[in-house]
Amino acid sequence: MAPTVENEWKKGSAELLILSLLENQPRHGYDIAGLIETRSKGALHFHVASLYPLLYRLEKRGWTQGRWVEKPNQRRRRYYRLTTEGQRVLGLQRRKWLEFAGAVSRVAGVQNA
Amino acid sequence: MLEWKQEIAKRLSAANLRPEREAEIIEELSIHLQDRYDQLLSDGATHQEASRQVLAELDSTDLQAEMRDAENTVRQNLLPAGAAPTGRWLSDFLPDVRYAGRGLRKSPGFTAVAALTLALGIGANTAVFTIINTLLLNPLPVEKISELAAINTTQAKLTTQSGELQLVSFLNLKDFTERTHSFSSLTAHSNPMTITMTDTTEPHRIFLEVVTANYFDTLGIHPFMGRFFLPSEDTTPGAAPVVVLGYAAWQGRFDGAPDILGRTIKLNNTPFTIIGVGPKGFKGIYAIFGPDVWVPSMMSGQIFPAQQANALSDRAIPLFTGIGRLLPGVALAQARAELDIVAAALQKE
Repeated sequence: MAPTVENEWKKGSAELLILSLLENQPRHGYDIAGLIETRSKGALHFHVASLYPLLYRLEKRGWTQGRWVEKPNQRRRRYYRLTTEGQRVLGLQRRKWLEFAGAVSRVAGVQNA
Repeated sequence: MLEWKQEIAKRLSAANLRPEREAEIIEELSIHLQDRYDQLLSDGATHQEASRQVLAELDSTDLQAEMRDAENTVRQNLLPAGAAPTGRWLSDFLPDVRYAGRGLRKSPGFTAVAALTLALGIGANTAVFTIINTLLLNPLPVEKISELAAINTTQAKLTTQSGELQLVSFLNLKDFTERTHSFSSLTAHSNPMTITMTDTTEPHRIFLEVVTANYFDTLGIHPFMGRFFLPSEDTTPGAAPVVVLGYAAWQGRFDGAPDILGRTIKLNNTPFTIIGVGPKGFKGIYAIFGPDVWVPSMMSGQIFPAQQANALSDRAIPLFTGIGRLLPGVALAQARAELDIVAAALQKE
């Protein structure tokens, strides 16, 4: 599959998207995938094969922590929460994203609607 | 569910994962696939259509290669001493900090550690290699960088994350300041946080750090213009709404206005008076990332969100990192030992 501009942008912002969704509460993978799709109004999709390797990378880096949770009448699920380190990274990545988006907008002559 | 597990197992068969890790991954992914399958059915797909769609999504990426890469993340991000930096600053830097934190973990319970040195010599080891390179590439305009150490805490727990660096509460840092003798000066700063700044025109989202009044003096830097905070401006909560601009923010957001001092800006709707501009090139201690403005710690109540408004008086709200300047002749290990003693005493109190 040839890389597209959209795919490359998605790849570059994927960590920020996931860390942002974990900022206020722990979530499981299916929840994260669904939120990305609904909040982006269908513009972004993370399928199972791309989402979980990313979740595991974030966990290996110590930015998130996962644990299995069992609830009555529900499937056992692995919930991910942001670590203190992850919170710090999220702040830094948000800043870099703002700087990057602002720089591109200034060069490309794009303004917010 | 069994069907999904078999499909995933087939795709991971050559990934050479540890058996127990592979089983865990298969379980987690199979639950996701079953959720997705159920959703497609409820959306009106037939069983056959739903199965085909779920498997297509499973094959949308080379799962085996991705998983192998993900499982090797830590090893790949730790550079051996002498290796060339990858240029991926953030991905190199933070795992190394975490690794360094693990190495510093000591006894169970609450311990304080002089964790992340900004030094080029103190505590040098493989884990801080990329930090050193970053700082060499982006030297901080601070005095005697080898004397500086960052102070975080670790909370020992029976988890894989138990060595991670944690922020410190304001009161604990205050106690560290009062009860230790290893540092000539000890300051505290929050992480950069986004807030709304309103000047005469319109609101902007900017980054701010809350710092103690001696932050700049501890680092040994001098203002490009105006002054930094006075001790008297950091003694009474809410009493001194003053702000220091970063040099880049002054240039970028105020066009380098020469009459910037004395102007008023609103930060989260509270008016602050601009008293100084930081030196050119100084972006906080992280060299690359940093705030646009700094405010004194006693203005925390006007800056932090409501749930953290008591950060200055509640030890359960850790929002700060300490930065200490070691006294001449004091080794990092000595300072760490002293901090451990103070932390142990605090834990008992």
